[in-house]
Amino acid sequence: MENYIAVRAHGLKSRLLTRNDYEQIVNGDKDVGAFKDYSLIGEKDTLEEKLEKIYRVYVSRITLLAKASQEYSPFIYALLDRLEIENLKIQLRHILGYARPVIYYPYGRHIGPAKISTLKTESSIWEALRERDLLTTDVPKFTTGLVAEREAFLDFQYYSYLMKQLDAVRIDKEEKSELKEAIKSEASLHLAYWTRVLKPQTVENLAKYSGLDAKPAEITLKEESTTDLLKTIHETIMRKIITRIETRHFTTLPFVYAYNFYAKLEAQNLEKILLGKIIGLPGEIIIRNLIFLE
Amino acid sequence: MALQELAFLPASRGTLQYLRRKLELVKRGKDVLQMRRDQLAKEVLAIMDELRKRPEAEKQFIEAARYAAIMRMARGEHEFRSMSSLVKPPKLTHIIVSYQGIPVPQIRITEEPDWTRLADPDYRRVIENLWNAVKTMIDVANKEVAVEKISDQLLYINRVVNSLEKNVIPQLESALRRVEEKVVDEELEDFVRVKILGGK
Repeated sequence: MENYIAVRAHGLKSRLLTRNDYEQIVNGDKDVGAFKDYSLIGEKDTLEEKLEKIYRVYVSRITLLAKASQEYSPFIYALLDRLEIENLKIQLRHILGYARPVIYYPYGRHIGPAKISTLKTESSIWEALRERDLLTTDVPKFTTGLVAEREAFLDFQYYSYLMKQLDAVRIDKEEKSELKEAIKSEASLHLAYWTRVLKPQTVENLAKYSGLDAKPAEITLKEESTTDLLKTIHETIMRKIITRIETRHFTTLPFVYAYNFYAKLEAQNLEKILLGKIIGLPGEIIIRNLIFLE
Repeated sequence: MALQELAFLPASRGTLQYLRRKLELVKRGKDVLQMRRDQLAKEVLAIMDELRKRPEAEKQFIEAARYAAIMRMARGEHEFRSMSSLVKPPKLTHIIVSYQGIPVPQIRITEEPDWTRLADPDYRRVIENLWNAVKTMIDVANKEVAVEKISDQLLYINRVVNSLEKNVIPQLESALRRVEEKVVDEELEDFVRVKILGGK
């Protein structure tokens, strides 16, 4: 079954957009809707509708793999649950900020966007997470009063949750340790981002509290831009983690992890393209901000 | 009294006195308006100096908006929108300010935006740059409205001064001359008549 899922993931990967496809969309030679998987996107759709349809494609691709095997589905769904965590971060900013209109990712296995939008207090968010076993620890006493501290906690909780789901999956030891290493590396790269936003000690304490055994990765950048840092993090994940998994675990579960990264990357790239075009940014700036499959 | 009626004024000493007073008043009014015109022109020139900031302010705003647009694209709409929710919007109010006695509508910032809840340095930089650019643009817009209103007043005063100079004063002077001539003529006539009657 593991091989079957990996093969299906290969099949799905072959349908991902190439650099040439992205360039055609950016240059206006082709519309997103011209690609089979995105044919539901119409020219008259609003930006919100287009983004929703793009992320629905990502969700349906991963759901297809999760449904293919009950044995591995908790882990595969856990990969997708990242969107739920992002939705919760969005809701946290919304309620702890000045309640401007926000948009959610169209996914909710535990707490859907409709339910999330009704959570109006911070405590109700933690309660909802606890009820659905998405928290691996109690909520700590936050020291900074910043929303970012709560977001970082959510991020670390997600990695702990993903690790927990991975532990429950019965796969080859080597594959499991490879996946654990990948998740840990990914977490440490994200820790590097959080250390730019919050005090390094706060980040390390939160990570430790969440049971995350990872140190912030060292990333040197010419400029102190967190946007550039995030792009570098994604590129590093692809270059160092995903490529390694792809070559070493071609037909096993770790490949699904790699495919999830690619599928999400495609959705993020399309979001950037559509947004860039609506804002009226030049094509070369849009292309420069995309991450292409290697 | 309408200017056309000047032609029908009776030639008398009383009319002469009246016209002289009127001419003096009009000339004094013209001088006062000219002084006011100079004063307003000086004010406009002073504000114009500050308006030179406009190209720089526009450049600063375009640059800040461009940087914000690139960041919005790079970070994605989901994140950008929710992050902007962490910024408390500024509060602006509309007041009327007197520039040399001319009421000018102005925008005043009553509360600065608050982005202390934003922790990401890139978002903070974007918001800070955008707000600084918007603040300079508000300042420039206030000055532009002031120049517009003062210029309107200046044009109006100019029209009045021109009208006084080219129309009212010459007509008054001409009426005054006419009445003066008539009064002098009449006085001479009376004088001659008295002389002739006295000779008999």
